[in-house]
Amino acid sequence: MIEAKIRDLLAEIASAPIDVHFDDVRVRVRRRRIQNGTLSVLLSVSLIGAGVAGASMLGHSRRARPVSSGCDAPPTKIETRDSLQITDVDVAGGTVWAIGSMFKSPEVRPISSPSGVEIRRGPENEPKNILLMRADDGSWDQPPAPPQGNGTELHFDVIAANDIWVTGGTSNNSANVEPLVQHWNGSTWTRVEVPHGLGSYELRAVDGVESNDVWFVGATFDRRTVVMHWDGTAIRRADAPSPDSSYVTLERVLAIARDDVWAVGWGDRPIALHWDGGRWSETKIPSAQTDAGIQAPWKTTLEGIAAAPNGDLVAVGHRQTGPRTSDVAVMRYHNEKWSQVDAPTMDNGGQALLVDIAVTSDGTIWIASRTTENGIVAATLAKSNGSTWSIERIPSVQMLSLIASQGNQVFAFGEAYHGSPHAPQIDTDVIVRCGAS
Amino acid sequence: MEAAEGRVSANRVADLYAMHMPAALRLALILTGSREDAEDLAQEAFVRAAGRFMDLRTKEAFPAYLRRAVVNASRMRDRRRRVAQRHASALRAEAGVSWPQTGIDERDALSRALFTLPERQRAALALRFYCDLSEADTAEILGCRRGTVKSLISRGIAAMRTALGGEP
Repeated sequence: MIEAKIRDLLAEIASAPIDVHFDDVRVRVRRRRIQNGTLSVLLSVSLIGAGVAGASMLGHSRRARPVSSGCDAPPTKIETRDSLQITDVDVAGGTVWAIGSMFKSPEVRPISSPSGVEIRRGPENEPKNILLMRADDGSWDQPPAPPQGNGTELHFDVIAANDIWVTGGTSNNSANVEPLVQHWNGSTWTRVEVPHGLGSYELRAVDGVESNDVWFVGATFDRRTVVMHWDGTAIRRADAPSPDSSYVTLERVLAIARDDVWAVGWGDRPIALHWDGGRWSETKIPSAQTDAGIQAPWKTTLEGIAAAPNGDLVAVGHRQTGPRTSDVAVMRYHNEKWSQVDAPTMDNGGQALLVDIAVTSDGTIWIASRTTENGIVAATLAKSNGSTWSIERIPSVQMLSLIASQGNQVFAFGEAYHGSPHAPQIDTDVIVRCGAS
Repeated sequence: MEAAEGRVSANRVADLYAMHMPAALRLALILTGSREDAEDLAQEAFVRAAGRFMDLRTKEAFPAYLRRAVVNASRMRDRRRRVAQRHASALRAEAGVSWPQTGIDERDALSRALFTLPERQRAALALRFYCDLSEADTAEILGCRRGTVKSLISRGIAAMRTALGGEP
């Protein structure tokens, strides 16, 4: 019965009147080339700045291309036969790292089934679905990637070049969906056992203080928070508060010291949990009161956190401003108290889109997201010196969703596609570098 | 290191768009619960998939590839994002879904439950019960094993059942 009702519901949702237009579509196709008998694709970063419309930054270009004042797109060279999406970025030892998933072109043959096709999986040792990248003097090299975790969203922490943790993907050893955690020790990737008995759950972020002190956070499928700790021998569940809410998730973890770790997320209120070396406790976020008038739940979220050089913390999320509209919310942790601070107005068309935060060594706070201006969508970096925000729009890049700082620079990762919504051109992963060099 | 740009003929892409975009949009509606988001997502997926069209060994694969791109795009977008806020009232208002006069409460409860499911569970339900894909095809699109699909679906159904007050 319930299955029939679900079918009806899905059909009903999908039956909404739709209107599909198609104007002048131009699609840029990545050129394939044959090398050692393998079809490979040169993934190019197409960043079109003022006056260079149509230019394509190809992999062999070694010159950074300006994309707006104060920002450029460092040349990237990522060779893959598949389409890549970067899902996490980290800076360790002065090196920028990124991890992403590649989408395989499935091998498909037509059959007579309701879906019309059958998808055939390639051999298990077919191209890796995970790509680990390390910025190396203006280009990227590719250290060995974790072997497991097909096409799933990956998060990682680089403690050192020979100490990398990756979480993402799921396994189903049991009836439950459980996260896949893999570790790189400098020579091999090893799958590390995760605790069972929580039902299905996922680990959405990882950050380590040092090699025997690594924290993982996430959520169970029945919506409780999950905090786990690697002590050098095993990953064990930690006792952490799980606010009573209809939907709870921890999104990010920031491990500053053995006795100073933060996990942020959201439920029916923004959530910030703190580890003081002895226990996890929830810290009070004042913003919930400012949401008066907005229908609960889903008020304010926390989705990114970063430490400032002066010891303060900054966190970013979304603040619901109406039933269908939201804007960026920024919190600062100062003198052991969280307070909501002025946030840049990122009119992103009412949508709660990905947002991330970083602080450079000069104390400048950077927020990556996107804005809409007169219907034009552009990736946006908001920059604060502590009192005022300035907004840097990156033309022709749709959205920046991840940002990491390295000294006085930030590296933001996102996606671009060109043209109007009805005349799109191919998107690519883009990397934008901003700030004093 | 040779690299250059190629072009798929505009007519070809227009055909692909006209043929496959409606289905992509409908799947995206289920995944996002919002027309605006669905358009965005389907567009994003189409651009991604169209860019890969030339690489597909079998051109008939395009609908499957597009479907996969829609699911992947939705998974990426749902990251750190309030899946849960897309609930029944917003859905009705935006998508112009016409709701039967009777059973509104039940529909509401089901719809609300659907959009508070973890995103992977909702995608699994959509692929199995809306796209009518097999467990194997669903597993391929979600990048997991068949057993995981079973688990996602049974949990999704269980949550929906709970929303209806434990109906069988």
